[in-house]
Amino acid sequence: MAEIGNIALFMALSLAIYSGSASMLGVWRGSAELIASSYKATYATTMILVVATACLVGAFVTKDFQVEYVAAHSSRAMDIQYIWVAFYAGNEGSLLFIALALSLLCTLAIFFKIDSAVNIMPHVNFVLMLVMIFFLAVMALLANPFNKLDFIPPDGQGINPLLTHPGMFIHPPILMTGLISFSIPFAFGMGSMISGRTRDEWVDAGRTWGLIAWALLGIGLLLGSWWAYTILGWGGYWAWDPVENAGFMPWIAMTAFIHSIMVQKRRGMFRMWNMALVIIAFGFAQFGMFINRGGPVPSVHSFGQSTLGWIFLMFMGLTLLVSFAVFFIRYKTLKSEQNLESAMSREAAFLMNNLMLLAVAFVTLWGVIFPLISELTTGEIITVGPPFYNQVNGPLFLGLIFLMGVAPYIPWRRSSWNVFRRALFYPFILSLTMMSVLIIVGIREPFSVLSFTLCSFVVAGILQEWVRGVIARHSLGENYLTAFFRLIAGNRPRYGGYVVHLAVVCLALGVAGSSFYDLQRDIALSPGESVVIGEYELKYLSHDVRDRVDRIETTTVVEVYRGGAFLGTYKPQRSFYPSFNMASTRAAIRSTLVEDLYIIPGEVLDNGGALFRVRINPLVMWMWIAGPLLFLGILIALWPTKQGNVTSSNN
Amino acid sequence: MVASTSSPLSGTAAGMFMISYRMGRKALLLWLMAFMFLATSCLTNELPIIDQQERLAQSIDRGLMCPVCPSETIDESQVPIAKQMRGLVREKLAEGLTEEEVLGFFADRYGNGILAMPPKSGFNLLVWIVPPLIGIGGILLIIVIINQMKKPVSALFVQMPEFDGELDVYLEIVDRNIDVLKEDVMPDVEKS
Repeated sequence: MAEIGNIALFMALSLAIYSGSASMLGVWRGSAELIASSYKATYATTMILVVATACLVGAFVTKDFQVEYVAAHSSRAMDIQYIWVAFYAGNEGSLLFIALALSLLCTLAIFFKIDSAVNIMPHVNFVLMLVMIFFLAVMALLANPFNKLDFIPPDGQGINPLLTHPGMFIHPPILMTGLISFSIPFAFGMGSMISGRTRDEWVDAGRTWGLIAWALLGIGLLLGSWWAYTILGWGGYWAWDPVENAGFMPWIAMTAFIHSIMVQKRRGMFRMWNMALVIIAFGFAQFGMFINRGGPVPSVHSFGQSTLGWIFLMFMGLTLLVSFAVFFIRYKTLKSEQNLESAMSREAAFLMNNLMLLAVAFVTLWGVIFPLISELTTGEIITVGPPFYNQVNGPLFLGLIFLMGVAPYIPWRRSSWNVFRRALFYPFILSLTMMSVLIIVGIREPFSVLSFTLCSFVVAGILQEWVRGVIARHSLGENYLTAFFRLIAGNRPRYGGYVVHLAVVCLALGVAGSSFYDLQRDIALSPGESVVIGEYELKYLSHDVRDRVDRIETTTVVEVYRGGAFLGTYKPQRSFYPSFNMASTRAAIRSTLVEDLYIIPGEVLDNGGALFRVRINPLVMWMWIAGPLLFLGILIALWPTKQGNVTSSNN
Repeated sequence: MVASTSSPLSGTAAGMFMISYRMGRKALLLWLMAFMFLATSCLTNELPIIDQQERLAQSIDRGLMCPVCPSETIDESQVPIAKQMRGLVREKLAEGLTEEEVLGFFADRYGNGILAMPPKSGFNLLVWIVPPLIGIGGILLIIVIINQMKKPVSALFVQMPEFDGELDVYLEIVDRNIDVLKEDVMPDVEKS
């Protein structure tokens, strides 16, 4: 079975080479048959990679430990459901997963034609196949999941216990898919430049696939935070770890792109910006893959193989070089005829948005590479940790939230102060009132006051738009409920955008609450003893130890009260894996919209006493609410209308 | 001080949502009030004075990296050496050292790499200098771009080129010129 898988990889590689060549040959010769054939080859690549995937899964199922990858990531004792995770747990398997995801996305991008991009599709396919060839070649030649050992080991090493949490069934796949999906908008941009057709053919497709890529990566990042929060046992959700940053930087660049592309759609401006942005976003994604695969920066996430990482770095360097070379060759055709008419215009606001987002991305990049620079220059090993990112990115994020509240109400082209004032009067007054009340009531920390005020400003603005819109439709005869849905349906990009902005506000709320007003205590309790933390009283009752096949599981029982009232019994759990010499914890979390009570189990001592870390994290649940809200917003924004994929000029 | 409890809150917020969509501007007020309640709930975590010491210790924990774990602070990490170091931090604080002195103590023992933030001296000052430079550079860039992009309105009108057979391009220029002329005759009335 592994032999078939190996052959499949090489077949896929050949098909990808054929597809890319046939596309460009077809364009050069003017042959529609060659071009159609190249698309079929792209579809075929996907099918062959499905076969390869099935072979690897089969090798896991049949416990074929002669396959090196299977031996490294599974064992006889492993539950069959974990094959899903084991598939991408290591370098080779994750490359196969990424190749499969990429080819699937390529097939979708080509199959679901977006009308305006029809003339550039062969070039787009060519670029996509170049990326595909890279991954397949690296995998087939350097990191082949089907490599066999010279002997057959009696048992495998088993799966890393941290990967057995439900979150790990979805976070890595979505994150990896998200990262590689950046190839699609990139290919549309590059394809348009290569074809010489830089008249906005790629804008619709670029926007659609940019949104999809952004949503995938965003949800992947959020899932990672949620997983870290629930499983890693330190009560936090983001550590500015280099690999987290590696996924964060492309996402920020893509945020700039999906906003900026609206200006090109609406007014044919920012052509050069958007091309540069999509190239930078893809570049960041490649940089991310470099860091993930054992680049020189250590991280909790690294796959570990160091030489492979440098190949990804070279891939990124080459891509950036070639892309910007093409950019400069096509420079003149990219210039817009439209001009910026006023600094007080939505175009200017989008420009500001672009620059602030890029600033966040580059500041983060600086933090990631500075330790390397320092080591190379002074020889000293230093760390750039969370305080740096928090202190520098924090104000930038606040600025972005402000922009989020203000920009949708600035008209296109030019505006006057009066228009502005009319649109934002109520939100402004209301948030000012809010700020005063917050300060009076006792919230004094300036950053958090500013955060809450700006969040309320954004929400007030969006609600005002919505309510005004519904009331306007109602006055024309619709009842409120119909008006609500018809309003959204009639202007999907705009209202989808509002929903996504609301999701961002929820995120901001969660971050602000948990960053400034969290409470943490490390305590030791003997059985029957209780402790008061914040408003809660925790009583430790007993513990229970269970020997399982691969681990020793200790469950502690804790009762929680507040103001004398019994809230519930919670059972935080700690497992120790002897073969990995690693412990993993399942914290007990009591979540409400207002705050989370978070109990992390430590060791149980010989005298029956137990150690705990207890945290109270305000407003964290709002971060997880942001996830489905984000997804909903993107769905609304992307939902096709009868006229075609992207609609109304009213946004 | 507002002492708030959560269940009446969630109920209130939900109730507010139900009635809000019928009430126009009053809706905004109610929403903002709901907001405020959420925010003020954060106040319940005010600590008595004795625990300020623990707060400081935790803040120092977040400033020290665990020597054996990849990129975790000793606050996050649960390995034995991290716990030892946390204990040491509290000991030193109890002895009367200030935050800088405690951090300095660890830096002397393990090297500057143990700190989550490099000391603000020498080459390491660059970490802090570059971000504001990026910020300033960005602002300058905006100003330059805006000035470059702005031109007097009349210049938006593009002189019609010779028709060279490329009908698409020609018609596009015609369209854009019509737009420009329309703007001058009927200024844009923005509908939101």
